Amino acid sequence: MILLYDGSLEGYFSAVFVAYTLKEKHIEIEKKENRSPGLFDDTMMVENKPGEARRVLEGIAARMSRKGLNTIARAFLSEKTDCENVLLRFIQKGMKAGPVLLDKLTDPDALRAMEMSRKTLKEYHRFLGLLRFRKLDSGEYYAPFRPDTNLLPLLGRHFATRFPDQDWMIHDRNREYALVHIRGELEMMEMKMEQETAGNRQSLTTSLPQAIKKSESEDPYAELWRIYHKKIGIKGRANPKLQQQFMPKKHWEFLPEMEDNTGE
Amino acid sequence: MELGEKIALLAEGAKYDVSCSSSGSGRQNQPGGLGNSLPAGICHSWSSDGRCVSLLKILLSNDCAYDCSYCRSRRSNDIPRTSFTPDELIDLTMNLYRRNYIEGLFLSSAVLGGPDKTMELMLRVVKKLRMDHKFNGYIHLKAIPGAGSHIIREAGLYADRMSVNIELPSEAALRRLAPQKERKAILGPMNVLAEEGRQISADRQTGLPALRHRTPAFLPAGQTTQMIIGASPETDLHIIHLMEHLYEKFSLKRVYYSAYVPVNKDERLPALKTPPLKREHRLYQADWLLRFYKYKAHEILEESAPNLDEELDPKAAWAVRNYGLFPLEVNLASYEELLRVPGIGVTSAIRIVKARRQAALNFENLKKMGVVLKRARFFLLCKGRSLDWIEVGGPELRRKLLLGTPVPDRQLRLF
Repeated sequence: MILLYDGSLEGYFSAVFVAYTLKEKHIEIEKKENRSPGLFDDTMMVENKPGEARRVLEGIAARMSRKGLNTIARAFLSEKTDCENVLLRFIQKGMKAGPVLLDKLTDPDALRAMEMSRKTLKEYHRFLGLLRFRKLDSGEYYAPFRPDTNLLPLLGRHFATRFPDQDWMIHDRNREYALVHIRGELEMMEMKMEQETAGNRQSLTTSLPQAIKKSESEDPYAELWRIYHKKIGIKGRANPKLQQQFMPKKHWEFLPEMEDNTGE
Repeated sequence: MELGEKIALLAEGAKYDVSCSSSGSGRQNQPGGLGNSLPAGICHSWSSDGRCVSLLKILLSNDCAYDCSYCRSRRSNDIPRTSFTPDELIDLTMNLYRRNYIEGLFLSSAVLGGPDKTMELMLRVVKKLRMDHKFNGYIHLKAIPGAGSHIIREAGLYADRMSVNIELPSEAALRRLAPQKERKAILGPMNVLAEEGRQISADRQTGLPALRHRTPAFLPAGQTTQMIIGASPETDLHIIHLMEHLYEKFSLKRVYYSAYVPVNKDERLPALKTPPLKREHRLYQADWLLRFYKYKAHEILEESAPNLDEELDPKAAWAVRNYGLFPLEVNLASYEELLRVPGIGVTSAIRIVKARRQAALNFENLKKMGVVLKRARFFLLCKGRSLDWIEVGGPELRRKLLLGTPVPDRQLRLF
């Protein structure tokens, strides 16, 4: 039996809930978009049910500890292929064994869950550092990035605590959605760079594509940062390989200090 | 002078102070304030020499009264001299912070007139950031050697971390190369910071609950120091014992080792073609062994061989010398014993100890848990079985270890 869900964490937990209510032994969970309809196997679409998803979440936290829940959520956000089924087995085992399962790295599902969670967490820490905000002419702060894992659900708390009085947006350019912080409120928003979004509720969303293009003219602090970054390198110990190990080229796109790309 | 020019000069002057971590402080934001600190610290960028950039590391002024032989900003060098106004520096810090370029400020300075006067100027900037601008990001403040205890103590109320550089590994070298920085002028502030820190945390623990809240937090991220490697002839043995002593006596959080990079022509200084980067890397590895792997200084080096092996890292070198203690059964050895195995780091050791409670481990498990079997294979048994055991040890073992180990000619990642 294959359960289909919409791709969100809430949808996934809704599917986990359904998996527990079904008597069948062999259940798999997959994203709806990965499956074309009308195939031979027996599939069922699971609707998002916030109440049921919450029960799963709380059950996991209670039975597998908060740490277990965090591991599962982060592993899910790593978006690795087949994370849904690894995690389903992990949850099933964990509900029986309790939090000790987290340490049982001889178990292949526990090991995979830990690895996926670690991948997300590692990228999360990297982007806490690498996200660069640019101040738009309209006064808001805008930060684009291209994470491999799905980090927007995790970033809100850190930046809301750190910059409570700023209006800012963090834009996942790979997934085309953004985390927006306006007047202290956090919200997720779909962002397509090409089209204009209708409605004038927030100036960021309507004017964003224009605002960014206009602000291609420099934020003066980006230039000062470039000067600073260039000056602090000690030429006698230049080591571009080490620099790239920590800061792979794939991240240079939105870093003002790497814009001239000479590895200097 | 334009702001960009000032930044160029004053950043250039600060860059040989290699400390740039933003860790150790869990400073919270306040209502109406800006910023906070993460105890783990955050790396925002990496310089062209591969070092982490976490703070705005800069001099308040490069107009120095001293004439230390190795320093670019020394009095006898003919370079442009400049200073920030407090508001310029504060504005720069706050705006870079808001854009997430930095975790905070690392403020150092040339000696303007005298140590107390310099510290007062620096402290004025820091206080204004904290009090007027409600800045709760990370601040690392240098303590100027010779500054009075009262001002050092006051600084600790506003900064997250402070440091005084001991500069050189021996008093003789210090006298020769930086005669205006007297040893007691350096140790004085270090003592004050260590003492004050211990006193405050004792007060907090024993005091009445009401007092506990009023007792101010003092220097949450503690104290560090730095020394130059290769500008003077001390052996690694001398330096490692000094390292151990500094950590114990002053409760330092970190000691930094900076490979000497020739900046000035001076007959007191060695004319090195390249900075001793490999040596610096080995010293950091030795430092890690002291701090995380529970080694003692005398285990790492002996009089008969007072310098660290260039080819083999200190941990592997120790394991080869002490091969009689191996092999260890991975399912039974203690955590401390596991830490001594080349290829097993702190993370792997913790994982091993936790996982083996539930199931016995084999080599395949170890590999998946992050153990570097290329090195560990010579030292371990799993359930009584071995992958590679060399009866004789010694040179044969060394040769095999080297095959599996890259030899650095410069700094590699430490973690």
